[in-house]
Amino acid sequence: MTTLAGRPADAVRHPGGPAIPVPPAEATGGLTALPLLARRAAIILSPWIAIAGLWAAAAGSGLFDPVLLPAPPVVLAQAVQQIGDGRLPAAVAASTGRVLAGLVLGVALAVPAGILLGRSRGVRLVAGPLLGFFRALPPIALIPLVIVYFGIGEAAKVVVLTFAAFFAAVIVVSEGVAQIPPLYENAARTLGATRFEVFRRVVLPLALPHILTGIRVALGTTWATLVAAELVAAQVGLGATIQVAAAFFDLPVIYLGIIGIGATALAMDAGLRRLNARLLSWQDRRPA
Amino acid sequence: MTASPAPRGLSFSGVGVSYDSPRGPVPALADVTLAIDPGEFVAVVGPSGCGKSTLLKLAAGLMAPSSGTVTVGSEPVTGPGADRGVIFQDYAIFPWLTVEENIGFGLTLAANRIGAREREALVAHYVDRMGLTEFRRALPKTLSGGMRQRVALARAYVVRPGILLMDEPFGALDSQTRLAMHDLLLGVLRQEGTAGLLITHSVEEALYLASRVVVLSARPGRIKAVIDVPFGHERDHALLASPELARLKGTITALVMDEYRRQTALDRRPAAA
Repeated sequence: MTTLAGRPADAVRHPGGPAIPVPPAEATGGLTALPLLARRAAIILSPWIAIAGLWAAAAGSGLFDPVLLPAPPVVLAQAVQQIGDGRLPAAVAASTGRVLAGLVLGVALAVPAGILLGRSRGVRLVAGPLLGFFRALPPIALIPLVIVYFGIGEAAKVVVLTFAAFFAAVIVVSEGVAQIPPLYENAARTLGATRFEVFRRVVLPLALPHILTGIRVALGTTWATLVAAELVAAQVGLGATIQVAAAFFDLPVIYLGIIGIGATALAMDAGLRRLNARLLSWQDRRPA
Repeated sequence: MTASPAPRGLSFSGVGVSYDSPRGPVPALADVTLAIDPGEFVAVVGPSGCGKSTLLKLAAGLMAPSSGTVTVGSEPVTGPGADRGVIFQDYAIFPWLTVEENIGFGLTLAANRIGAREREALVAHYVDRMGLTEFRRALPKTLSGGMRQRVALARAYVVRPGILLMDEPFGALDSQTRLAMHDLLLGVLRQEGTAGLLITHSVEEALYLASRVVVLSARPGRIKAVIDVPFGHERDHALLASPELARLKGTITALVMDEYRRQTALDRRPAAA
């Protein structure tokens, strides 16, 4: 959701959310509506068109072996074919399901852990180094152990993704919560709030922006870990698609899988940003 | 909690505060003894860094004294409570709540909970009293400094504290808004017989609002002087032009400036050593 088009950006972040993206069009008359929309679309699409153009130019230059660098139309044809036979939708569905499961579990653990870490020096002292230790481990290094303990079913993949989501989100949440200024808590206490009321009515609302940022960061990490997670004997999934294609040196499919992961992650992030704008309309910040 | 609270005074007796530092305890306040009677308005002036705000935090219960006691009525202060309202320097109104929700916040806490209808009526009353009717559903980010200030005053006041503690609440306001806020504050406090403790940089503001002005010394803050303000309860802006106010302002400013110079000398010393 970009607002580079030079219109008042607050239109996009209004609490009302979805219904309002382009009210200036009505204000300035129907005729200008289309150019404005078109301009916005052009601005959003321009980097993608540029990348595709560069890619097409590189593939068409004859400098690279077409087996090593398939041209965009070849990948597109592959996409059309795989959408037609249902393989791509199935892969997207399987991977999205795993990512969501890992994200939900990881974040559900990371939010209370992050709040505890952010609020309590004692907890930070005890658990901080542990976190640093496990956080540095690449999820892929855990796969042999995960297979031993969780087998090769869906559970194993979700464990790897949960691990990734948890450690990404817990840092963001704990750092964010630790930075909440005591000002508002003090204000609530002087109005007679108990510790629990301070927590529920002041700390939680102030933690929410950090929780949402944590979810967004975890979403990225979880998608990035997907290929590793699907190393655990997955038949279906975008990561599995890439691995199988790699075994057959089928580069168009590898490209398709990569684009599929990026596009799905982008769509989920866009949804999260909308949620952010809705829940955090009270924040006095630069419009996104 | 809708009935007016029993009027209770606030007193400091032999209060001292020192902060821990790597070089040992640093005294911030020393031997402060001061009683604010129920319904009385006391202002505290003094050079920056003399411990004025510390005094207020002690009264609010956000901090404990290193020596001496702070009492409200006859009970020692052990923590914050709704009997002592606080208006913070930067207002601290909750940015995620609307004007109405901010003002009603205290009334939704277990300590002061009242029925929903009663709460709405009380909130509406203060929204109106503060001239915020048009903005009652607005979020703080859209409000001006003066409006935020009024939200903060209403939020503190709606739980009917016996005393209102104010830490330089008018510092960020333009001069007209400040004068208007002074009158609003005096009106609201008089109505309920609420006492006030105001920390301020402005000697004129102190004289306009208070019945006594306390001058704190350079660090560690001690009471250097207590000046009775001979103006009655009814005050208007004509007072600001009176020779009596000018004379008192001159006297108090001289006292504060003395301490300011001592404070500045103190602040320089560690750097020279």
